[in-house]
Amino acid sequence: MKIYIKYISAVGLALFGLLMFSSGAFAAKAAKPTVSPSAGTYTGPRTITMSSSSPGVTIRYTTNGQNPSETSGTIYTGPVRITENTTFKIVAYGGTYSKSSVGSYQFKINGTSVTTSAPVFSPSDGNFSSSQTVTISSSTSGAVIRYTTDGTTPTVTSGTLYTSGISVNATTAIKAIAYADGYKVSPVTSGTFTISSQVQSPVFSPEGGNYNSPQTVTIVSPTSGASIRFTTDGTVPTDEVGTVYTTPISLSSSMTLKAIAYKSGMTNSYITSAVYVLKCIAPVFTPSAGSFDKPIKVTLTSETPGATIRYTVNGEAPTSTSGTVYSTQVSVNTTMTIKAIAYKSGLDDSDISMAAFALGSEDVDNDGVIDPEDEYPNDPTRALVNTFPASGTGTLAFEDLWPSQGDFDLNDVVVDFSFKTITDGSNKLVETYCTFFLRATGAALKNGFGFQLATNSIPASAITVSGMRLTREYITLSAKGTEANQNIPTFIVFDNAFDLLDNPGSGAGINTTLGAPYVSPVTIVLHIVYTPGTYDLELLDIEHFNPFIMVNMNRGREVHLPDYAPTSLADQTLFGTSHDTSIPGIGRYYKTANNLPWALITYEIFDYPSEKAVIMDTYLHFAEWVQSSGTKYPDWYKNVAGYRNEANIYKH
Amino acid sequence: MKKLSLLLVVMIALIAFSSCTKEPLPNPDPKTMDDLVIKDDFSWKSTMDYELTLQGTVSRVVMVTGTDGAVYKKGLMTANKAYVLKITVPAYVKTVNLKYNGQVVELSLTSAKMSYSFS
Repeated sequence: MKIYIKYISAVGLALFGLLMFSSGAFAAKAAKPTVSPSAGTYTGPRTITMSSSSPGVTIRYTTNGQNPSETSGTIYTGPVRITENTTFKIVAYGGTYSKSSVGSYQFKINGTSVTTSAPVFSPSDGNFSSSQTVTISSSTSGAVIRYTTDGTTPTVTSGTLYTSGISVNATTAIKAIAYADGYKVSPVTSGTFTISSQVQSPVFSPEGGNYNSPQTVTIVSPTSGASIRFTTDGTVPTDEVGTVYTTPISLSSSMTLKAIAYKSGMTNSYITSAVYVLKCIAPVFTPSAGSFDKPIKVTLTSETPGATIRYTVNGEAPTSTSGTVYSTQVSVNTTMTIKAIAYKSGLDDSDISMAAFALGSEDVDNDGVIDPEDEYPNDPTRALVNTFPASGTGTLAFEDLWPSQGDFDLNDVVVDFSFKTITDGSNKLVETYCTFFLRATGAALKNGFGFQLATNSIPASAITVSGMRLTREYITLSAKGTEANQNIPTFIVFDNAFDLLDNPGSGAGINTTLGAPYVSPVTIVLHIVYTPGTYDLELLDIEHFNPFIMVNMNRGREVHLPDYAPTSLADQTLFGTSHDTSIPGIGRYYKTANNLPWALITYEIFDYPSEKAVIMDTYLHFAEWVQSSGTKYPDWYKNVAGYRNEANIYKH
Repeated sequence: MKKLSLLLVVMIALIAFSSCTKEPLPNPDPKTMDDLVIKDDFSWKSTMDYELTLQGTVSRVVMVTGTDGAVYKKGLMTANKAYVLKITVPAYVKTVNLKYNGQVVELSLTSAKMSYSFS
């Protein structure tokens, strides 16, 4: 019996042991995980690697002070980048091992001002005629690079880890960042690699324009290996017609230069065309025209070095062979008009300058403005003309996808504007001629255009307006022509751009696609008449008029310049939707979260971008102007050498 | 005295707090429009506004012109009476000419409100 009991005890013990072993109760503990680099104090962010010497284990960690377990904490899958003080608690488990003891590692990260060098693409982004392999590098030793090709911005935990060159077979936008231990994350480097089978358009240097000396023009095509042909007689060059460009072209007279670039196996480029005017600068009068109480002497000068000046005082137009050669100041002893011209061998004659000098103080129409200063000397109801902009013409350029962000080519509606306001002898408003020049509509949407005065200092009841081009029936006007139901006088210039500009049948929109047929712009003149003798010129404040478009004949869907208020008829429920971040309560309107606009205004003529050409890539100092809040490059929109990417400007 | 001390502490704290407010730095290499760093108060205008108060001794037309001859504003100025006018000029224009009764005066645009009296 004793032997039997011993036998039973031994078998039970063995079974118990087997059970315990199989349940893991006797499995070896996994080795406590370690970290690399070791815990401690570091300057700048660090990348932490975790490992356990026990093979096949799973590692979990926490950073919130809680102990991780087999079911809680983050499973370690790869190095972890830390940018601030962090304490890791780590365990290992699994395989043939039971859970390790918890490792606790404290990292103290001191700040650093050093940033990882931004990634650099090779080749640089741009246009290519064939597939490219893009390599990315950072000059910071040991930097890790991540990139995306889907438009998202890579981070230290998202995007593809860069290991070798990226094969680009179609147009691709790449964004990349770099980061390294001890350094901040680099800025994002973005680049678009455009793979196109069309040769890029030739670029002229200097650009076309007015010059007062002979010019030597260089032509290049950004497409490597492309040949160029050009003409100077107005004919259109092709890959067989025109002079083959080999050396810079000397221009000794005014001409139109046209060029095309071509390359075997690729589509010919669009044609680049520019007008070079080699002309003397017109003479300037000092003092300038005006009225004077006593005789004066007038000096004539031209900024063209070596130019000769001839002038007349008898009303006839001077030429390079007629009129008096200027050698000494012209005496003005009576009311007279001086006409002058400058000329020089090798240059076109200048335009004729003209200045009226009046002596005396007669006022025939008795309106308070003496005749020499009165632009309507025989009309007692009119005296002076003010033009805004002073340059003659400004430009408005709109995006029409509001409240969604557009593509920033700013050509969905392009309208030039000019206001000519006439006042009487007491500076009271008489009338305003508002001239609009519809140049382009790059949209598929049927957009209208109008404007509102800056204030209601002049009531709509004091205004009569005519000349609008309204062909649809979604606008309601008052009896005097301003828009009804507005609390500030509002003028609708046209209600559908497509009723004014006929679609040429190809290209996106009208007058925005390079190479598509050109449609002549349309001029619309609104004539505003005010209650006579009542409102001062300054009340009009036309310099701050509030232009807007109405999208796709939806009267409420207005798009204004940034921070310009909507009219009474705008649909305010659209504010704050999609990309718009308008806050009417604080006067914030028509801006994205990043303060980007849906419209721009320039007070001089502005050449708008072609279809899909982003304004920032078209005007090379636009970004500096914007980011400096307008202090840098306030003339960013001008046609000045080095200011524009000519290939992006719409031309016809 | 206690209230004064408290006020001083609050003011110092406010100054310290406001001096720590950092302006967003421009992106030195923006690749897309969304990369631009744009201040909330940027007006997006390429012009500047000025108010001029002018005066002369005879009733004559006064003109404000650019050095290139562009006429920004003109109006009849009544003798010995202040004439207030507003001009909007391209932001890069820093000087205008005032033309009045045969006089041409160059005026530097150094302030939003300026005045000049003709002799």
